[in-house]
Amino acid sequence: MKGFWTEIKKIKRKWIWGAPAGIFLVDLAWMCWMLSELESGELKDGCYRILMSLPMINTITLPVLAAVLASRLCDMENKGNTYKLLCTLQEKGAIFRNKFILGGLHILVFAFLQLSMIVFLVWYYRIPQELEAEQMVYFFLSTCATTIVLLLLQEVLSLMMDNQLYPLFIGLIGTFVGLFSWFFSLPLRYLTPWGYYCVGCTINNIYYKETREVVFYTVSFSYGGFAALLLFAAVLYIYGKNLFLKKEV
Amino acid sequence: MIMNEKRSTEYSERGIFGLRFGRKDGHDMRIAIETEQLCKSYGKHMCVKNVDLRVPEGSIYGFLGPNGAGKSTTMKMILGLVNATRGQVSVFGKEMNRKNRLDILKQTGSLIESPSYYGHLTGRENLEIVRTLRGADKREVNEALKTVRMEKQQDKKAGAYSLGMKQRLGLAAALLGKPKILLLDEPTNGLDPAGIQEMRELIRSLPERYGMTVMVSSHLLSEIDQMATHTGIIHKGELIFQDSLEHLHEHSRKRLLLKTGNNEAALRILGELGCRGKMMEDRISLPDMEDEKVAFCIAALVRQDIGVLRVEEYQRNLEDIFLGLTGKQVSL
Repeated sequence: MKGFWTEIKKIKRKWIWGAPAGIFLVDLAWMCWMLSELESGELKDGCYRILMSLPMINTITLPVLAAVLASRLCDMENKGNTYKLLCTLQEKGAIFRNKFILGGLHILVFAFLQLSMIVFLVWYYRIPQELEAEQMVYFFLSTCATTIVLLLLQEVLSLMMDNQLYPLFIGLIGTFVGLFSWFFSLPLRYLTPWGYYCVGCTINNIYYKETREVVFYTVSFSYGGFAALLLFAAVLYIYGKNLFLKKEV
Repeated sequence: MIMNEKRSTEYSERGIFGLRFGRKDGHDMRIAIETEQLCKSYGKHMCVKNVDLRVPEGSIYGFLGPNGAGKSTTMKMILGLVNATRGQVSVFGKEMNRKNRLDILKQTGSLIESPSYYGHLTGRENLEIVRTLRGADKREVNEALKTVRMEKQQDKKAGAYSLGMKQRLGLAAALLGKPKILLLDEPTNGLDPAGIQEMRELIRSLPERYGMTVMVSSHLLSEIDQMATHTGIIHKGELIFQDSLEHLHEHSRKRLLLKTGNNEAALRILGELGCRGKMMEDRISLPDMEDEKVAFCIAALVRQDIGVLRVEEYQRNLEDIFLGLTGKQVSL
C-alpha cells in the first residue's frame, strides 16, 4: 500500500487527469454535435445511436489516452533516473503493479464519466428510447477492459523505452488499426487489442437503400471475445512484468 | 545490527600483496560489506572479475579506479540493481539473496551515478517519497535537509536545482532512515570546487556523526586520499589493491636512485653486496638504506672503476603507486 500512495504523491502537479478530462470533453462535444444533427424522428433510437457511436469514438481516442497515461506515469522515472533509487526501496514488480493500478483507476473513472455522459445526453436531448441497463453494462465492460489492456501494453512499452515518442507512436498506429478493425470480418477483429471496442459493441445497424432508413438492433455480447481479451491481458501482464524485472537499471 | 560472528572477518588477515593490516588499537574491524568472487559479464566481456571486497564497519572505503574500471557495476551488484554473473554479496555477515535483499537494504542508503529525483516535485516532496517508502519518521526529512544544508531550497522544484543541489538532494535521500551503510558512486561528479569540498567534508563527517560505514567511489586518487580511511583499487574489473589508506601510503616509502657510468655492471656488483636493485630508465633503483651502507656501496662501485654520476633520494607519491598498480596513465 505504501508503494501505491507514493505513486499518488508522485503525480502531484503532473496533471495526469488532464488527458482523460480533455478526451472526455472531446467525446461530449462530438456526441452533442452528432445528436444535434439528428432530426426529431431519428431520436427514437437515440440510445442505440449513442451506444454505437461511442465505441467508435473510443476506438479513435482511447488508444491515445492509454498511451499518454502510461507515458506520463512512467516517463518521470526515466527522466529522473529514479529506478536505481526505487529498486533499493521497493520490489521492482511493485513499481510495475502500482503504476498499472493507478493508470487503471484513471480509466475506470473515465469509463464511469462516459456512462454519466450517456445518461446526461439521453436526458438533455429528450431521447424517447429507454436506456437499457444491460447495454450500459456491456458498454462499460468493453470500454474498461479494452482500454486497461491497452494501458498495460503501453505501460510495458513506456517502461522499456527511454524515448517516449515510440510508445506514443505505437498508440497512434493502434488507433488506425482499431478503426480499420470495424471493417474486418468477425474472426479478424479478435486479432488486435485495439479492435476490441468493436468486438465488445452490442449495437449494430443495417441501412436500407430503398427506404433510406437505418435500423438499429442489438447483438449478443461476445463473451468469447471478452475471455480472449482477459487471457491476453494475463499473458501480457506476466510477460511485461518479467521483461521489466529483467531490465537492469 | 545483524552480525554473524562466523562471517565477521578480521580485516587484518585479509589483504592483497600479503600485507597485514589492522587497527592500531589492536581491535579487529568487523566487515560491513563483503563480496566473494563477484563477477559480472555482458556477453563475452567480463567487466567485473572475481572481486573480493572487504569494507570495514565504520570506515570510509574509497573505491578507486579509472573510468570504466567496474566501480559502478560493482556497487550496483552490492545493491542488487544488477544481477551478478557469479559470486556473493554479504552485508553485516548476511548473504544477500532475492528474498532478503530489501530487508538488508533497509540498512543501506545509496547515491549511484547521477542523482535520482522527480523534477516536477519540490526537494521536500522528493524526500517525502523516499521517507514513505523507507518507513522513516517524518522528522528525518528536516534532519536530512539540515545535514545537506538545503533548508532554504527545500520548496523549490528539483528540476530547477543545479547539479550540486541535485547531488545534495540525492545524499539527503540516501540519509533517510538512518542507514548503517552509505554507498556513494562518484558523488562529487559535476560539482564546482566549493561544492566538491563541501561534499567531501560532509562525507568525512558521516561515520562520526551517525556511525555510518561509507563506501565512496571515485576516479580521483586525491579525492580518496582526502576522504577515505580504507581503499580498494579496481582496474579492468579486477581488484588490484585493498588495504587501509595508511598502508597505501606505506607503499610510498623512500628509494635511492643511482646513476652510474655503467649501470649493468653496477647493478651486478650491488647485487653481490646484498643490495638488490632494479633498473628504472637510466637509473638503478635501490631500497632505502642507512647512510653508512650507501657510502659503502658507492665506495665499492668506485673501487671497480664505475663512475657514480648521481645519487638521489626518491619517494613515490600516491599517483606513482596508482600508476604502478594500474600500469597505465589514467585520469587521477
